[in-house]
Amino acid sequence: MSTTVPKKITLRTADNHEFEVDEAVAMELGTVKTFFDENPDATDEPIPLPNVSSKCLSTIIEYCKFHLSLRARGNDSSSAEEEGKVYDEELIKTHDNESLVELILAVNYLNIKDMLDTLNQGVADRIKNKSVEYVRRFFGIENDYTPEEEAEIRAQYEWAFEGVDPDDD
Amino acid sequence: MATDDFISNLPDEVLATIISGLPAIEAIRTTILSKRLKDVWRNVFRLDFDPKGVKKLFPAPNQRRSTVPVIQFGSNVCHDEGDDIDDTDPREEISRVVKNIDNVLLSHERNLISCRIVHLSNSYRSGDVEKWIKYLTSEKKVQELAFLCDDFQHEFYPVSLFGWGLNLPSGIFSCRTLQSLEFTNYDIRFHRPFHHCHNLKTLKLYYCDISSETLEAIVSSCDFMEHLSL
Repeated sequence: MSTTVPKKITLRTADNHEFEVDEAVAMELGTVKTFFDENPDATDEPIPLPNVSSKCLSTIIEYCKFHLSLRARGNDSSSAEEEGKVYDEELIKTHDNESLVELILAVNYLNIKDMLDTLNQGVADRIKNKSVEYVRRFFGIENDYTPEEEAEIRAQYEWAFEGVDPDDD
Repeated sequence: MATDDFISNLPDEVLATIISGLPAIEAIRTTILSKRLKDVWRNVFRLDFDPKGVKKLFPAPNQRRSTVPVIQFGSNVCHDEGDDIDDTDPREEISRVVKNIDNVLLSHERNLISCRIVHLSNSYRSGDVEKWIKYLTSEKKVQELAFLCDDFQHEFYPVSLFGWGLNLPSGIFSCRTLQSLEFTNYDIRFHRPFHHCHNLKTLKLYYCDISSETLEAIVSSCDFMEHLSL
């Protein structure tokens, strides 16, 4: 099968930018890999990624390249692990809430498990110890409970809401 | 800051993964966010029953003394109004979470990869710890288990009264899925619980009292252990 898959793969983002990447990098993207697994005879036409912006895709490609190179080093795994951690922390730090969310949607669509785990934990860390209102704002959630329903849930899980300042952020 | 369609675009699975990164008490609190979020926490793959702030109470041993709060028996610790949890009685926080562990585990719907429980020594004496271990390994197929026993009682009771060890049934940790075990602040006198642990790859014992004979016996029971941290 490997002979029919081109060495370089072109990806086209939602905003119509084309990215040419090594096959190994493209295969890090679960969605792209599945596409080639299911269409071994695919031509080297650009692969459209309608849910991914070019900004996100370039971050994702950088991430995949970096982690691929770490894995390739293999034998000095503890220093590679440390470098990976530093890279991931930096990745979270350089994204504000909104762009982190946008990136999660893209990574989820592209099905890159490790990167998704990293980003999800980044979001969890940002909503940790925050008030309900803060978390609603963070996610852009509209409270669709009636006051009665909300009171009922608060009563049901009373112990979890005890001592939480509702206005704190 | 808010992205309006964030929630509607994210599959439950991803939301559950995000919520898995929160302590259990906060994961459950997400139920109040909206109807969409109501039951997502039931699918988290990790439950960390750590009352807010308890991690902070277990810093390096040399700093530990200074952070032990003054506990007045029979009443609450006085705390400055509106201040954060550092001033509340951590034992009370722990009891409140521990009392609800059973309910949370029963409402939770899928297998767990990891579970961490912070408890007081009375949970150990009452048999709760044993019950949780059995439930988590048999019903939840848990892979990583961690227990932290609050030891503030050491400050008030002579050690002789505190003379319980990790006295659990033989082979309780031998369930196939369990790969990693962590105990903090335990008095480990028996190796019986570790019999037949052909499954265990990682064992971490932090601030534990353990004799070298017991440790040797444990290590020789765990054929496939790859990491041991003390």
